[in-house]
Amino acid sequence: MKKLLLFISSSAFLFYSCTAENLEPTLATIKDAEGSITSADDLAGLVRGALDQLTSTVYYGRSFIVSDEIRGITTWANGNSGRFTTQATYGYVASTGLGIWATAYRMISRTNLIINQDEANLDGEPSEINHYKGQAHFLRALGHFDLLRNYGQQPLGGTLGVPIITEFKGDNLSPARNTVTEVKDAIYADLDRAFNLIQDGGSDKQFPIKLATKALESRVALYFGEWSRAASAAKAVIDSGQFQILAPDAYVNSYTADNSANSIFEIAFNDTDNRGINGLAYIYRGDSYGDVEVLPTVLDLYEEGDVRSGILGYEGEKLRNMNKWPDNNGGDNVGIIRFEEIVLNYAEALFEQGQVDVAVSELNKITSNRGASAYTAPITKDDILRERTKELIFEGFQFFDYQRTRRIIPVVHSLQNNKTPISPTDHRRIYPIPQYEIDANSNIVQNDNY
Amino acid sequence: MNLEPKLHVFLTCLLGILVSTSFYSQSITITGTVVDENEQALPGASVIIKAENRGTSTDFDGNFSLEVQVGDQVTVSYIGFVDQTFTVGNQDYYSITLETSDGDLEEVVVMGYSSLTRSELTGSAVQVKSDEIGNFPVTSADQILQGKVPGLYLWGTSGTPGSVSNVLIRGRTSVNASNGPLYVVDGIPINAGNLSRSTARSSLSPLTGINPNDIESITVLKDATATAQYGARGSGGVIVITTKKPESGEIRIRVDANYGWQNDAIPGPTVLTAEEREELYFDGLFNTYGASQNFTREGAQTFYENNPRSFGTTYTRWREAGSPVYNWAEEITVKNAPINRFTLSANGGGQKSSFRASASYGQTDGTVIGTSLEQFAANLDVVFKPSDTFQFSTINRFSFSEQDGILESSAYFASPRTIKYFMPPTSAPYNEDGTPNINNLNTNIFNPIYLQQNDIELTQSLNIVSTQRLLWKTPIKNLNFETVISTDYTQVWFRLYGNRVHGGSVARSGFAAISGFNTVNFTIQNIATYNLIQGVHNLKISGIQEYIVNKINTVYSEGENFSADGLFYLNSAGEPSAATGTFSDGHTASYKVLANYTFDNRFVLNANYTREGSSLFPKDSRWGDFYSLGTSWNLDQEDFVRNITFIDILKPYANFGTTGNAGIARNTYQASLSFSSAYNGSAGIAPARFGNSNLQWEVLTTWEAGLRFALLSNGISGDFTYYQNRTGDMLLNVPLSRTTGFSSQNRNVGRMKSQGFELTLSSEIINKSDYGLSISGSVATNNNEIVELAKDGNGDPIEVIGNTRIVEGQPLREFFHRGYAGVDPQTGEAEYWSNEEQTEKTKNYSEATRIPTGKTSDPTINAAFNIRLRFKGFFLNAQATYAGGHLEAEPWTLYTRESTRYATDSFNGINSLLNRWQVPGDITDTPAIRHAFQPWQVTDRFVFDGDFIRLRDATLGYNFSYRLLEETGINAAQIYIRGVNLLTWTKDKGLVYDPEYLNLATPPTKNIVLGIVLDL
Repeated sequence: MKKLLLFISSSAFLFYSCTAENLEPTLATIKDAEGSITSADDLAGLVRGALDQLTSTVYYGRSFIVSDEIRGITTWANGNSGRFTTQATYGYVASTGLGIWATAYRMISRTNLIINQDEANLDGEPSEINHYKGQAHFLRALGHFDLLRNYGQQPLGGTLGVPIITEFKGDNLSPARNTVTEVKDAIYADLDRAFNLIQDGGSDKQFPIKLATKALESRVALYFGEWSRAASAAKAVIDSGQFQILAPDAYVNSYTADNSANSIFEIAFNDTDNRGINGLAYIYRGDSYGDVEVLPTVLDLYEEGDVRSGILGYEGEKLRNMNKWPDNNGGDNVGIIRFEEIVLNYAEALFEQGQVDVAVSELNKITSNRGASAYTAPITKDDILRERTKELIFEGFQFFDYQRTRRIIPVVHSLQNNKTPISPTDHRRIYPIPQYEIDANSNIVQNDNY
Repeated sequence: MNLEPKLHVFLTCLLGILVSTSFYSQSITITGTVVDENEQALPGASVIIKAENRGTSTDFDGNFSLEVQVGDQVTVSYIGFVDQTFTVGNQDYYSITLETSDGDLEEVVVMGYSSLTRSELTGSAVQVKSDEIGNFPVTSADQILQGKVPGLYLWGTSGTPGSVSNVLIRGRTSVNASNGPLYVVDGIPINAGNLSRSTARSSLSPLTGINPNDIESITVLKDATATAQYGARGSGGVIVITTKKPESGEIRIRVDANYGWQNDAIPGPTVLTAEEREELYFDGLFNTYGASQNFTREGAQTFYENNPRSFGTTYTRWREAGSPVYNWAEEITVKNAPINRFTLSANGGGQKSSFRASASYGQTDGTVIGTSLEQFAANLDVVFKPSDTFQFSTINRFSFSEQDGILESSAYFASPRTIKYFMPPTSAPYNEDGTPNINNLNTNIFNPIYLQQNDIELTQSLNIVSTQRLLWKTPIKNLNFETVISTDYTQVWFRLYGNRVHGGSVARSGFAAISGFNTVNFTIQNIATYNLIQGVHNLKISGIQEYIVNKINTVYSEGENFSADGLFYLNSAGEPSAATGTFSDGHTASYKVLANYTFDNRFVLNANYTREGSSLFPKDSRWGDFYSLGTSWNLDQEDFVRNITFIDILKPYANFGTTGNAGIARNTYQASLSFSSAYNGSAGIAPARFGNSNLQWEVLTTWEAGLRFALLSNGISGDFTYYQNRTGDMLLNVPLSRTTGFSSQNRNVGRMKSQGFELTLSSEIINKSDYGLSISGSVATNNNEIVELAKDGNGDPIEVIGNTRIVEGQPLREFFHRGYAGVDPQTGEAEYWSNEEQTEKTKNYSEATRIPTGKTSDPTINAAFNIRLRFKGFFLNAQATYAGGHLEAEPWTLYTRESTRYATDSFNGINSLLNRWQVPGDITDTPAIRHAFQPWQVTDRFVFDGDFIRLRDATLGYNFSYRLLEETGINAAQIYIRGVNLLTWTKDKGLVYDPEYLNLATPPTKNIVLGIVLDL
């Protein structure tokens, strides 16, 4: 009897020996990547996931725009919260880890996940699937372009661009840098593909619409000085009639509005995104961060009556960007491509091709809507660049205008953080590849002098 | 999970064999007295009939009376004395004189699943007993261990009451997986991580729920044979906490009360006064603009006043206000912050059941405004012995902690600790009417006085643990079964409110949030133990089966746009702005065999085997096997040593084994998609983790060899041990090229090693009945090195290079700063070393070379020194600790230490800036002040030797004699005054923050506490 009882009770232990299946963890807030993308709707979700990276604080959510603005001659960093003084003094080194490297590539990897999907395995209309794939191609082009103009060696005459990534979890996890030309070609190819795949008639500018591809193409071509390509891409946008230059009284308020008539591509922010202290407004104004102040020389840019000076204002003694994306909670959509830029691109491309009169009339479409004096031929490249600054100030354009025109970035005011002019060959005109990439990927070559 | 089928069989057969036995026979009553060698009565000595395990204890005069039968064996015992047993004869009065124990009573070391005597150990486990634990004035029980266990290094993260401490046992063995120990309370592993729901705010340790006065012992398991009991989770060492258990006998009631005062252990750096800061500001203007704008050093003030558009008017206005002196450090500091704890406990019972119950309340204020902790803890343990065959025990713990915290893990503008160093001294804390100044601060930093009055950052934590144990002494001699079922439930409720008038929530027009968290740990253990004693052979063998499931729920919601002040709850928020919720679970199953074999009490062999499966790993690699083997030789039991009279204990030991580490986040092995991003108001889909379908346990292999000894009638005793750790299959967070879209992937790759020795020595110099003196000390070393890292496609190791680096051949996170070469005496500019040999200088920071140091932020040497003195009723105990061989980097120096506008204009600087370069020829390490900002240019200038010594604990107390207490009805009483962290010495005089942690958190506190213990 004793032995029997012992046997029975000992078996209570053994009863447990098959609890292995109890070790399966629950996936509650995430899904297994395998088999979770099954429909066009899922692709739409992936597009939103990619766009979400574009809204990141380090990307178009704030720092990409501000880093470029502050390296120009419109703003300075007052040290209020210690932000952007590194960029303002060109004080970055590889270990600063600045820039959009990780974020832009994360967005690209998300677009690749869309592009790599086999449509045969997806539910939904082929045209719809292609539409989302087209949007992914557009975003991939934008990502590669932003990377190229931050890290590529073209402003200094070098040939190294950035790695072109077209596969999600591809075989090569340590890619080398492609040449500048290869990256440029890949961008154009993606934009062409995007143009062909995106369906006509999108009116939500928070997602890439068909003509956004042409608009971006004009920006890329302008950057590389490919004037005829820039002109024809810009012309396609202008001739579509889908967009309008803002009327004078609409200019200032357009930065709080969604889907304005001049918007070609904008990224969506709303109150539940809770940008708050990490948003653009918080760095451009206010008592808490408010690091980015406007140089007094900006006041001299605008004539009496130019509506664009309405963007400026004072907080106490501080000259500020008061009206571009003023919502302190960060709820304003941020325009990435707007029609006025395309008109300016067109004017510059025409000017460079010797069509000065047409260029002037294009420029005057802007000035006539801004309360500024009209241009008369002959005009200079400086006129065009100054008009770009006036129109696109605080939107992160000026530094790249200096880059692509290979001009010295001057010192214009004692408040400027940088105390000596930056020559076109200064190695600090491009970012170092971040140290984290160098550490992880021995195929990456660092930019010179970093 | 479904319990029923698993327990069913066991319970059924238990019920079937319930047996009870009773004895009836003739009994007599005997009386007696128990005294010591000096004929002093021993009250509370236990008098037990051996066969029945029943008895009584002596009264105040040492008298007892007991119902016995002739022929019974009666044992009289008293702590610190040798047991005495007599057989009941015809007489009815017995006078017993107990002899003082010379200390070789074997201490039983609680190892978690098992307990072993010292002579049965084959490793270096250290047990800290209740007399060293109770009444230590700390808010979290683990802090008591600081300096008590060689090889254990504990350092705080903040002095804010309730904060989490970091613990390393024998250093680091893992790069990315967990390095912290496993905490086991009463045999059940617990979650010991931070309970705070906001990483930006004060942390909260779950160990705040355990009252030190309820702890019987804490055992620290370090070696392979000890940690192998927890094979799969023991690689960071194990801290086994055992609470006080019911004891049969008369009911004893105990009262512990203490009250004390806390201050910052060291005051920290001194900031510039407004006057000093103004002087430096003008210095900066002169250095920057003097030459180009043609003014002299003396003319700087005029230049400043003439250009208000460029430079503002801060100093002009401050002068006009009469150069007031504001001391923000004073404003945010709470002096003599109270710390107190009151504990009531009772213990006792009869033959069939006994109990222990306790309740305690603690209230502690932090040394910085806006911080406090309230602790409530209650325990009820009951043991039922319905028969000789069965024993049922229930352990129940309840605790509730409420912490008022602050932002403190970074330089937050709303953190009072930041304000101490960052607030411009030209800004007034208060308006003239006495209200906090929020409108004329002239800085982007907030007034913490206002925030502490109007904002809420409150964490409430509730913990309930209930454990039931059923022990069955089976009919087979020495074969026992035990089943344990334990539920451990923790709930955390974090409430946040930011007012709409001043601070970070103004833009949102007021902000409130609730963050909730609950977690349950459900543990089942089945333990079979068998003890085979055959002649000189003694074999103890246990089979253990364990299953643990943990579930975590979180919920968070927030809202903004409050339409009135004074309403703090979400209900009044005009607009909800976020709502999230998550769930995760983890499962662990294990089977263990523990064997301890002793031959003739001379040779000891320990062997352990564990097979453990964890839901952290994919199905095919989920299970890991771990083992250990240890041996020791009790030489003192051998005849050839026994004859050497001065040797009491001589015991060489050695052990070897493997333990596992699964200290990674949940769901990392799955390649997964996340749905939590949102764009344009709709959810987005994005890759979450790279995944790794082959992920498995990280394995630590260790060996240890040591010698334990006691000489000269235990006059000198000690333990020396040397160990080596080898980590393989490291759960490395391998950095990926960011072009993949991922930052890292968990892989089992790479190796690291570490080693060290530990020496403990103690000596009873004088040991008389009226007075005594003993000293003890310990030294422990630990050094680690990374042997191998992951390789990229080209076969190059994937290193991490920064101000600390992770590279092969060097210690983990070796300090690797750019070298600072001082200041050019001619120009006042900073210079850097441009070569590793530190012979070439450059003024260009980007050309500065990083200098290897071979050191990390972990001490490589720790030491402790204790002294215990007693004279009659008085006693004095003191402990000092040393940590050294490490480096510490001061944070936030760009803002507080560098010669820029940050220190003189935006924020404030530390007064070391007064040593700045001024004129050619000045020899200093502080460059000329510039009216400019500079980016972070981190160098080794603010990296300091971390060596420090601390007078950790000093207690002076008095034990009242029985005679004094006789009239009062109190059995024993003690009063004491205790000081914690009274003195601190640092080797590097540049180290101005607290050496335990150099950050903007609350520093460790210096406590002075008065206390009383009453035994009723």
